[in-house]
Amino acid sequence: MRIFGDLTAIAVLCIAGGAAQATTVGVTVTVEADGKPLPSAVVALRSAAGEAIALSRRTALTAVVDQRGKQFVPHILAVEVGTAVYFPNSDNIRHDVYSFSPAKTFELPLYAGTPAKPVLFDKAGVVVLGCNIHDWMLGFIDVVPTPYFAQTNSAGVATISDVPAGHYKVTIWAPRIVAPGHTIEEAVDVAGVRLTRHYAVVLGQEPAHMHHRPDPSGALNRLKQKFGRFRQTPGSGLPR
Amino acid sequence: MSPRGLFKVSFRSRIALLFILLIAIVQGAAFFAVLVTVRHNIMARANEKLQSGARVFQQLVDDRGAQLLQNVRILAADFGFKQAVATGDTATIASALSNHGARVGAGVAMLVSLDGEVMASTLGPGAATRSFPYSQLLKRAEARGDAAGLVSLGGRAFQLVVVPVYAPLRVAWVAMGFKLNKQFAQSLQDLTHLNLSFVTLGLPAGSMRPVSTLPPAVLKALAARTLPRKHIDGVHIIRLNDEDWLTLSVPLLDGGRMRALLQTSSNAALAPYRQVRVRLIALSAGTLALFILGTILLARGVTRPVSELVSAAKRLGQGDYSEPVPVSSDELGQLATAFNQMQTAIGEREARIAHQAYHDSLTDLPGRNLAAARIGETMKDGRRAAILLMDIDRFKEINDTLGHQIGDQTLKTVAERLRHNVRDDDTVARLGGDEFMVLLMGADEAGARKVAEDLSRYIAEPVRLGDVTLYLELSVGIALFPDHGNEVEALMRRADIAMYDAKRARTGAMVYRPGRDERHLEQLALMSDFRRAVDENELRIHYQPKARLTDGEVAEVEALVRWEHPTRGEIQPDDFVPLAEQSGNIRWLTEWMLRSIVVQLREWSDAGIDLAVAMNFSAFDLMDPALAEHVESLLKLHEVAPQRLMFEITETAAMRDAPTAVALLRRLRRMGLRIAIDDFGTGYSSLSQLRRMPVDELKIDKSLVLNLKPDSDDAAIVRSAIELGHNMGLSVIAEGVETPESLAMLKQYHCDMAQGFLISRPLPAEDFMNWFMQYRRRSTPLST
Repeated sequence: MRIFGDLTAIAVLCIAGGAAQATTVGVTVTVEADGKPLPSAVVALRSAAGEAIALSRRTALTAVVDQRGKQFVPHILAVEVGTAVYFPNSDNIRHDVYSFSPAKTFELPLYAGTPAKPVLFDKAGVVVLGCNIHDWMLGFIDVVPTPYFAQTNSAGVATISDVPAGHYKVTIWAPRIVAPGHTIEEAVDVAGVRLTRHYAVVLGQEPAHMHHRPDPSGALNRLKQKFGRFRQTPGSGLPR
Repeated sequence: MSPRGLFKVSFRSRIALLFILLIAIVQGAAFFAVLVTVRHNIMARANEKLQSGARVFQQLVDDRGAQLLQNVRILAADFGFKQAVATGDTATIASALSNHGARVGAGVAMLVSLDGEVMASTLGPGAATRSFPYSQLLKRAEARGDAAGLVSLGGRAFQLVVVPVYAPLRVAWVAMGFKLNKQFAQSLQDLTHLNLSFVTLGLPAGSMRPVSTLPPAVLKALAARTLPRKHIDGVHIIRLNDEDWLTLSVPLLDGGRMRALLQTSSNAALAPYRQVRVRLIALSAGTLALFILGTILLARGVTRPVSELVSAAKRLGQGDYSEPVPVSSDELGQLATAFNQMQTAIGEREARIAHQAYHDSLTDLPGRNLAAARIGETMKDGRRAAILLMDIDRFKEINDTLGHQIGDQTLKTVAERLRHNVRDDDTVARLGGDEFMVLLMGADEAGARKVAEDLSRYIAEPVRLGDVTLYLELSVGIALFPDHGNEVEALMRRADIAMYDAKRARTGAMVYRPGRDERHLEQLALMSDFRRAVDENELRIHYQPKARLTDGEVAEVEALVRWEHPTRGEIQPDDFVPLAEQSGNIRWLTEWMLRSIVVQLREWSDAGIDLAVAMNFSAFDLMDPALAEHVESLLKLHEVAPQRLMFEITETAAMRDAPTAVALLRRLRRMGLRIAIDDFGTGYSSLSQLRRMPVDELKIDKSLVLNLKPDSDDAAIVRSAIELGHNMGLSVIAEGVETPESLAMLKQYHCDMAQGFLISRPLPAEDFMNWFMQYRRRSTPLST
């Protein structure tokens, strides 16, 4: 099924029959270019137009984004709106986690270990995580306004269970997906039988951040060494 | 001078011009080739210098850019700044930009959204609404993370660096501009010795504050200049203050009209070229001058001997063989030597030819032409002169009987004797054959006669040639200048006439008698008429009877020729026979007479008249060996008996060429013809000679008979002659018998026959016949 012109994916939605009204939705996401599975993509069934989805009945939703080896683990985390996320520091150095994202702006000033209080993500949206000490550290928390969501595993498969029948909008998000908001979406009907969908997505560059910045300093340093003598010339007015 | 003469250039000039032209071309070509090459090399080197300067310039910019990037990157990493950017706190952003910009020395600082909108700027709030004008720089930053580049901003050159703001994803760009100041330009000049300027194309540079290392005056000129907006990039030459500036124009990153100009003065670059050019010009000029000098010298060396040869050839053409050509030691000298040899040889040959032309080869005496020329010269001088024309009597006999060698020897001897017996300023010449001429200077008639006699005497001395001894006699004709004419031709002719007169008169020498020449000319005219006379039948034969004295019977007649000239009337043989003899026409006359007589004899014989005819033979006839045969065939043809024909030969003719004449006469007699000696008594023949002659009759000359009187000398001679003839067994006849007295005396002397007017004058054939018939009827003929 073609959804977004050239950039769209072909999706197969399988709705498998379960007990009574609820059923399971299985979504497979692959990379269009080479057919390999795309892991960690966030698949969510959101409310279709005119329909509301009840949020989770659970009272205390929590999640964890660990910092290990100067990386956020997991790199991408999907949470339901209202989830409290803990940011433990498993490294033996300090981190200074922050986000300027509109969905959640916060800063956990330099710390070690696990802070006592988690950070509550009470607004839907993608929150970009950074570390003020280590510029290249990058993490994402996709805050979704639905309890029916899952992330693709290493086989590119996300399985969402206990989905009541109804009209939904399936969204698939990953930072590298080339689409508005890095998201592709499709309207589906869930009707008591297991629903299986397959989406092939177009991937773009890693999002621009410091880790992916090509370091020109190597070349620069070589040039500096090469032409160093020029720079020693007296009277050079170059700023140092 | 030829028609081309106007454009004629001397050989020397042409050689010189050609060589000078050639060397000038070669020099010029070498000159320009070297200059072009040198200039090209210098310009190429200057160009290279510019190009490498451009690379150094780029490197300097890159280095400075890297440094600036480092500085700005630190600023963009500031957490507070990031926070302000991420949260859109524009006031904070602006203050941070200005603060941080000042910290790194930036002239301008801007925050640019990822979409390329200027969100904040130190240039003021107005600038914040615009889009960032250096999108190219942004593109490069997107590809490479950050970027630095040269741009123009507000008419000034800036180095603009663009650095991203990460939070932690890239959320915006920070752009900071750093002025390119004089210090920077100076550092480039220090490194490369190139001038660096930043100017905006299409605008007078004066409208901005240019940054430049150019000297102030040049900069001022540049500032006053509006550079073209197109085709400026790359290397080209800009002329400033009378100085060419080799310029490399580098565009800035923003694609605008500002350029970085790297310049070097081509004057400086071309300084070595100018030095080379000056030296080359000096060298070329020097070489050319040397060459011109050498060429002129060479040309002169070649052409001077040639012009000498030319003038020598002209002299040669004019017959001047005296002056030799100067001889040098080279090839032209050899030519000159050959030329001189030729000149000498031609001179000698011409002299020899001239000598041969004017001299007789046998005697080496001057010839007729030279003789005439000498006479002419004498006449021009107005001096008296005598011309002695002479020939050797009977020289033809010597030639014919003794051979030409003896003849030639004789002529040489005569020449020798003549030459030795005249004065040095007299001229002896041989005019041809045995004819000589002596020109006596200043001689009058008496002197000339004296010399003629002397010369005759010298010539008369015996000439001994081997075993032959000759006795020569001269006949000399004398003409005097100016007495006998004042023209060479006339003088020589008159001398000739005098000589013939002398020969006829046997007087040895004779001076020209005025009037003779006219008669001579008349005779000549007559001669030319004579040939016609034979053809036109103007000749007649008259017959005069010879009567026998014993009984008066006429059995013989003498045939005498008459010429009835259409204008002159009847001409006597004495007047034209000698001329015919001289001119060689006698043969025609003899032939005609023989034929006529034989025909007449035939007629008479047919008419029953038995007469014999005597015909006169000239000395020339006696020398014709074919005559006898001719006579014989004629007689046979007309069936005439030989006894009816008789020949009369004068005594002198018979004696002149004795052996030939005797042989001919003998032969005629054997044939049966009879021979008579005519004019007997006038010659000097000896009796012994007479005895040998085969003759039948003696004819006593009429000069002895005409006035025959008893007891006169003539009578004694006639009587002796008759007796002599009878004694030799010859019959004797006397002619010129006009009176009965003489007839009577002849009868008394027992002369056999008589001829003369007393009996009858010569009559034409018809008249004679009438007379003869009458005469025979007479009863007593010759009665006295």
